[in-house]
Amino acid sequence: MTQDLSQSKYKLRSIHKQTQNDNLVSTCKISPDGKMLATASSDKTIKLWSITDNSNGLKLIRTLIGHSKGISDISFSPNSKYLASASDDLTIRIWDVEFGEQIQILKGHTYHINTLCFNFKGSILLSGSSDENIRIWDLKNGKCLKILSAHSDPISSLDFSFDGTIIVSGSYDGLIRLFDLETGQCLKTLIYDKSGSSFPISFVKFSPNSKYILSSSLDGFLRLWDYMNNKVVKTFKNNDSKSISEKYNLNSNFITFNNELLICSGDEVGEILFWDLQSKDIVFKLIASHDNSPIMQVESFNDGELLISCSLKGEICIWDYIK
Amino acid sequence: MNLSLLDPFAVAKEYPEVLTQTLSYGHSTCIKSTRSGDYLASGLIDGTIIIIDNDTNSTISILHDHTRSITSLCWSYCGRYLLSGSRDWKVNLWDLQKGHVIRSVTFEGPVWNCTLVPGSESPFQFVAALLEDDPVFVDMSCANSIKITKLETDPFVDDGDRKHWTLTCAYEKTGRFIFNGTSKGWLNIIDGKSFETVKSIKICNSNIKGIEFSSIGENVAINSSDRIIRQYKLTIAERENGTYKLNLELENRYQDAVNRLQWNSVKFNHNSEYLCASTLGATHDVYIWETGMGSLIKILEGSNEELIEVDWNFRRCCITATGMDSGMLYNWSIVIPQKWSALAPDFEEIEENIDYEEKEDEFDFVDYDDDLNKIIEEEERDIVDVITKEKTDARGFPFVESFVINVSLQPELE
Repeated sequence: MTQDLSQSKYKLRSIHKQTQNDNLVSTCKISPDGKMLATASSDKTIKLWSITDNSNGLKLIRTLIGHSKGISDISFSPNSKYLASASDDLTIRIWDVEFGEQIQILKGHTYHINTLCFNFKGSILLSGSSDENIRIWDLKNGKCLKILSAHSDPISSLDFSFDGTIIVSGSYDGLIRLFDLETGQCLKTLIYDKSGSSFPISFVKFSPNSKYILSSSLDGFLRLWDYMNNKVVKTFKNNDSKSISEKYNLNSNFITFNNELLICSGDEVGEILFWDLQSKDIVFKLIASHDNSPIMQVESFNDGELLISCSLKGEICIWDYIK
Repeated sequence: MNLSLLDPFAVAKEYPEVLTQTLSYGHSTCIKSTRSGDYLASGLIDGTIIIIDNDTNSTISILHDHTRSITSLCWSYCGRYLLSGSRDWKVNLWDLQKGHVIRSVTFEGPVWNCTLVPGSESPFQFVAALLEDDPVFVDMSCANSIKITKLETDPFVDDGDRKHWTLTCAYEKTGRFIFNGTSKGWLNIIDGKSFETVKSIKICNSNIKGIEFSSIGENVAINSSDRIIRQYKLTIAERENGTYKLNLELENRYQDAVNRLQWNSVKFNHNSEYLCASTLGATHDVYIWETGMGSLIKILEGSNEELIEVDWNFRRCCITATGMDSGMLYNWSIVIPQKWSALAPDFEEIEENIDYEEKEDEFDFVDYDDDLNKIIEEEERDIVDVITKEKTDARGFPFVESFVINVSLQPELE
């Protein structure tokens, strides 16, 4: 298929390669104030970058060292002051961004920790692990408030509704579950079994109004769920019956900047795909890796005004929305 | 948003039923939750104020400045500012963004209570009732010149009552009038702009301890030392010449004729259909009445001591009360049972056993692969709106953008 890039709504600002020693990059995150980018890597370090307007794109501020194994996920607190990191060394560490010090270690998970999520107040952190549990942490006291043990395979992804009362979790057992934060009760379970069996869920995210859930699964599709009515309202596919991802947990985003209504997700061959949310057609693609490395994370700032993508091999691309 | 997924019968309950939690963070004398229900401020006997995050029930902020027990707390509409009155003669205004006092006024005696002008954008104006002194209106807009206006304690009509003091003051919900209760049972209504007493009503012959306005509706509850809470209907009508006609009509009287209980603190629920009060005396309960007929509908039990302050957190449907001896916080709320069918989408909860009958097509083999794409296409034509948020939650409260207090994650040095 020929790529029609004339439809593209994004312009590349800069590419930054940080490949050294074959270390893989698991994710990148933009701080909520839009000033910083953090990348996590299998080399046990987190790098903090300042995002600059010029073509250099990124300037390294510091490297956070402390974990003894690779890092799977990181998350900025809502006030951009702290960064939480989840590692295969079974710990979650909280870092002070300004001084680069490690200020808390949260221990409790018994296997690799895959995902993290802050509530909007910054007082609670969720963590999902391959020990099949979700933990709710009270960050003020560094204590685990609750353990949600309702999945039967590793937890891959977590998200909060906008008012911070519902937790959605995706797991490799193929289930999407919704939990009540206050009581820890399971409120709902979603399963897609039309095609016979349910494939592992690799990513979940609430829509901006929290009425829908966007999920990625390893059958290679994205699905938008109307969770109140237990049904899929949109399925997003790659072209030419290729899958989006069958191996990696790649994230997806709602692009709503400038009244756009797009869904974007990276794929396993170095592209970022953009779908029209209503028609489900792929509107355009961006090439974000030169050696077809999977796009692990596409970070969206201000609903899509700025995108930052990072590939498994460490290529970071910054994209600007063209008005 | 969680409420829409919970059992609707449990969510529809209007008042809490079970003691679910007790919290102990020092000896609390005064409590107040924010409008959004996210945080609870608790004033302690030693003058410290602590802010509790209702999601984690942990202290996220500790405010030190007062040196005697806190008597009164009032949140600004936005939830960023907190006004505190204390027995150390001071009223402080705290900015929770900065975490320190931004305005402070020292009076010539302990402060009974203080309250901010409701509905006002700026948190700098308040009224306060002082021990053995006239009540005051204070404008702190300018930090260098704080304006204090004394308000009248003597009633509008002279009936020979002398030597009485204003014990409590309150704003009606629009912020136009100030209602002051005196030690001889007079209710003085003061114009919030001219600061002149426009009306005085003799409520009873003893102290007026508290005046509580409902947030919706026209009800006002007046708690007095004669062991009766009187509920009035307040109507304010503007006359053509710009003056106002205020009318108070007695609707209900709440008392416990058997135990002769004193009521400590009174709160309405959000739509003033219910009223709760803490009791002083042998019982250790919170009473809840239905305000239409004035009938007692619930007694919240479980604390082992007398209760002083009560606070009704509408959004979480939770009543909190402080214990007199220990200063602990007692929380009553609704317990919603786990719906086990939520754990598997094909589970259905049934009342009793039913005989299973196989449906005609129940085990028919459907070859999905062929028409799955067709089915998907047909089902997914609808336009979906992922942007527009619900305006209210399942209890009918609007989602409000409220101030978020910064949490410091740095462990405190012991």
